[in-house]
Amino acid sequence: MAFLKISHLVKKYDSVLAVNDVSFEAEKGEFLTLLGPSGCGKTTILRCIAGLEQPDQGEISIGGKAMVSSQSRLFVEPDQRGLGMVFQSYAIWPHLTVFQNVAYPLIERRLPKSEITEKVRHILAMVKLLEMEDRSATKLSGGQQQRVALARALVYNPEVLLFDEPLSNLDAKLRVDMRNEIRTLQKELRITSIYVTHDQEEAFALSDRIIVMNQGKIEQIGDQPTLYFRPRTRFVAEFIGETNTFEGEVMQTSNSSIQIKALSTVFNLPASSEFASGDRVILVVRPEHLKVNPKDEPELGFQGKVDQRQYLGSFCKYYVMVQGQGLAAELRGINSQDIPTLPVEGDTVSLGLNAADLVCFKVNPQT
Amino acid sequence: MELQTTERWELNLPLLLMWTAALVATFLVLYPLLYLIYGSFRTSLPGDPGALTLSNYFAVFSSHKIGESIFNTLILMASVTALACPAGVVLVWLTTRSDMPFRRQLEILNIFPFLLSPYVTGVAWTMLLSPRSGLINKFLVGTLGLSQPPFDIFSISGTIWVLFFYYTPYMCLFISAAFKAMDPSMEEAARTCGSSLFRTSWRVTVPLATPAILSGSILIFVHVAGMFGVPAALMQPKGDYVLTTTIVHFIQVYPQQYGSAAAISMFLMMVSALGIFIQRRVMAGKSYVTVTGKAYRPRSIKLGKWRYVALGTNLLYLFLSIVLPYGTLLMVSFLRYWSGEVSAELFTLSNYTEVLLGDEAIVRSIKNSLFVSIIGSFICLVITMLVAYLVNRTKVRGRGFFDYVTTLPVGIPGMVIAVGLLWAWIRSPILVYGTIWIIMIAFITRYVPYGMRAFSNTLVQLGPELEESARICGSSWFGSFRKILIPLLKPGFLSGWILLFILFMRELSTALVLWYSGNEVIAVQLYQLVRDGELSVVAALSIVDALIMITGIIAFRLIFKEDISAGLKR
Repeated sequence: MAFLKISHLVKKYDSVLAVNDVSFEAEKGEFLTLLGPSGCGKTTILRCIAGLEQPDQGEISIGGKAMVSSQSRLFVEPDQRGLGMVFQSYAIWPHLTVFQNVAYPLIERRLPKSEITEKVRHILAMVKLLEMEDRSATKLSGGQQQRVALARALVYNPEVLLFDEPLSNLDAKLRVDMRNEIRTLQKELRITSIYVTHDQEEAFALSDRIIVMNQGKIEQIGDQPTLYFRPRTRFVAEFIGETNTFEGEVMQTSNSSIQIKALSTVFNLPASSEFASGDRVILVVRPEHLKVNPKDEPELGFQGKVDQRQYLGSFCKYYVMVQGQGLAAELRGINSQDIPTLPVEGDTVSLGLNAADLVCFKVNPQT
Repeated sequence: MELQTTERWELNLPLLLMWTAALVATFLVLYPLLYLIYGSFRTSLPGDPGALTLSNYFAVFSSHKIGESIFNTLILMASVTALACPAGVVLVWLTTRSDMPFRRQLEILNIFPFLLSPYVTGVAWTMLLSPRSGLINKFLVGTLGLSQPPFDIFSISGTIWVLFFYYTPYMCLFISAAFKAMDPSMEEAARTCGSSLFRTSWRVTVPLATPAILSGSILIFVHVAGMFGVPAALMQPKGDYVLTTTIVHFIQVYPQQYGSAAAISMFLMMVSALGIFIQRRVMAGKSYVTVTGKAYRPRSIKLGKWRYVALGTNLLYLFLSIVLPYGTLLMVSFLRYWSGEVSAELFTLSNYTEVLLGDEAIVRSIKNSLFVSIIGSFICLVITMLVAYLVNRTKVRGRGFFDYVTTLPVGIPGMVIAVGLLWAWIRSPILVYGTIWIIMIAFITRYVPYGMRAFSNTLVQLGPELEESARICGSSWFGSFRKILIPLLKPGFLSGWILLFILFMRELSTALVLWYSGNEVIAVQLYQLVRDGELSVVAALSIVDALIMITGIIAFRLIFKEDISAGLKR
């Protein structure tokens, strides 16, 4: 039974459709991330869940209780929704101390003082800020402020926890540390969490499932392996990780396979009802699936010339020109004695791959 | 738990309050303006029989005297700007970029003259540089054996001299933020290319502040056009007029020529509005100065042997702008009468007793000033706080209109607003004209843009997330407004209050246009006394006025622990 339900959400700003008929569900205790570039609508959706924006159409319900319904003209105020939210700018109140910041929601709920003190101290210990409780909020570092924000959002056991790109303002190392802390806390407390970010690595590190968005619409929902190995649209393929993209044409189709011509090579892919003879297609393959001079016979192969070689420590990156198209390939598992034998710039190499690693999309006039 | 829900159009108290404030502000600004426009096209006051006409404009612009006053006004505008601008740049550069001794203290002191009444300063300078009785003139004639006194303060150049000291701190206020917020890497890049520290300042630092300098210059240029007090004190005795003194002349002459006053006011307003329009265009999108998130530690330029020359120059500036005129006033306040002689036998305290106890009109003016300045500034800030919130934080349709309307008075000299108010209320059945209330209305209207700008800047800086997170944590709208926003706005409110208190206390032209027996404020009272030639009483009243303001600032600091310099930085 889904805990958080969003259905047919629409939000317009002037004439711009920021959220275009978006529907999804989250299970109780799930960590769900909305991932996409700026302007894709992810923050707008989050703010609609929070009650900070009112959608033009759609329904939102949490734990079975309706929060927003355009049909029945229902809008529950943000202070009545029982949610927690961590903002990108932390939104720590400068005129209060750490303790007062975290205690604020409990004071609003009129809990007895002793209970407040106990809960606040408990959560501050969880985020490792107990010794800072009397410090003025302005005297904290970015990472500390972030933890206060997290503590404040958790202290009253909200049903759903919302995150609005909370790590963007931190520097790289701190971001990774905080990311791990958030994941640990969420797993421990099992709070349903909706996380918004544009950082694909962050989304992959934290989430149970990810919703990839672009220009107000959902591109794909899935877990990390699905999104990585089986992207359903070109946008998802290019947004997640690194990819090689090249064009091709469907020559023939049959019950068992489709024949594609691309980069002056003809090869077969598993049958699919999506394609018809004569369709133009986009083919996508990840660099680590393109093997440079493979020892065993690959299913498919291309020949090309090495344009650039970058030795990056744990692997070697090759940029190979195949039929005028640049393809990136990775060579892993190199020992130091292999190095003299590795191909260099100008060498002709063959790139091998398995058909299963190729993803094929029909050319959509809009992509 | 029953969930509270809201219909979109539910009327709630906070929104109602904001709408009321916005409508009040709109009424305050537009009512006199519309009446002014109407009045300039009419032959007589509203309610009296009359017709719509262009004759006011014809009369005004075919008059030879008006031509002269326009010319005088332009000369003032150009000269004061041309002098105050570089002086301001030099002072700010010295206090923010050099290693001049005491620069931190001087930075604040240099702005101080802005708080003093320019009219009073002008009067003080007559005691020093009046051809017959001026102390400096007499000293120079005596010691150098001159046949003629070298300086005559009663002239355009005398006016420029006094206004220079008033507007230089204005310029300093404008550009100091720009100088202090500069990204150090801009200058560092110049240094890396081989430019010396001094040349870098001249060729990189100053030009980077050009938008602020230009903006400040245009504002000064426009502001001088609306200046009344100093031209009244120093040019009128010789029969030279500027636009503002002409307007007052038309109101005070008998029979009054309100139509002409309105027509000239319209002209003055157009000039100001044009100036503000140009200033906005100049500033739009031209912010070369990048404010970085990193803490900016200005690298001081070593002046070497010029350190003490710089210090001396700054001190001389302060001496001339504050110490000399006010020291003279202090001295004269203890003399029985002023005729150029200073001697022990003229010593008396009678001026002070007259000002504080004896003269009914003067005592009343002190009470009126305090009443208007304390209450009026508070009302102004409450109104602008609510309207600023409406404009910046709500999604009310049409809030841009309120933003625009409340900014209008920036381009309108106080005197013009007053003439509009005169037209609006003089024949109204509601008794406002002639009372202290019209003075308060005029002051509030004039300073609405100050409050709007201060609160809007603060709200933009604070960002909506502080209140949003309070809502998520369980506060109602009103709860988050009360517990989060008000405490954060309080410092700005308080520093705005003390600033407006001082600006209200020294406002002259607005109060003079609307003057009626019984509603004098201190500034108007001073004007009367100068006209009557009672200069030693003027001196005593000015000192009392200054003491009230200083007491106000100190008391404020003690009670609220807030600093006026915070309010001035806007």
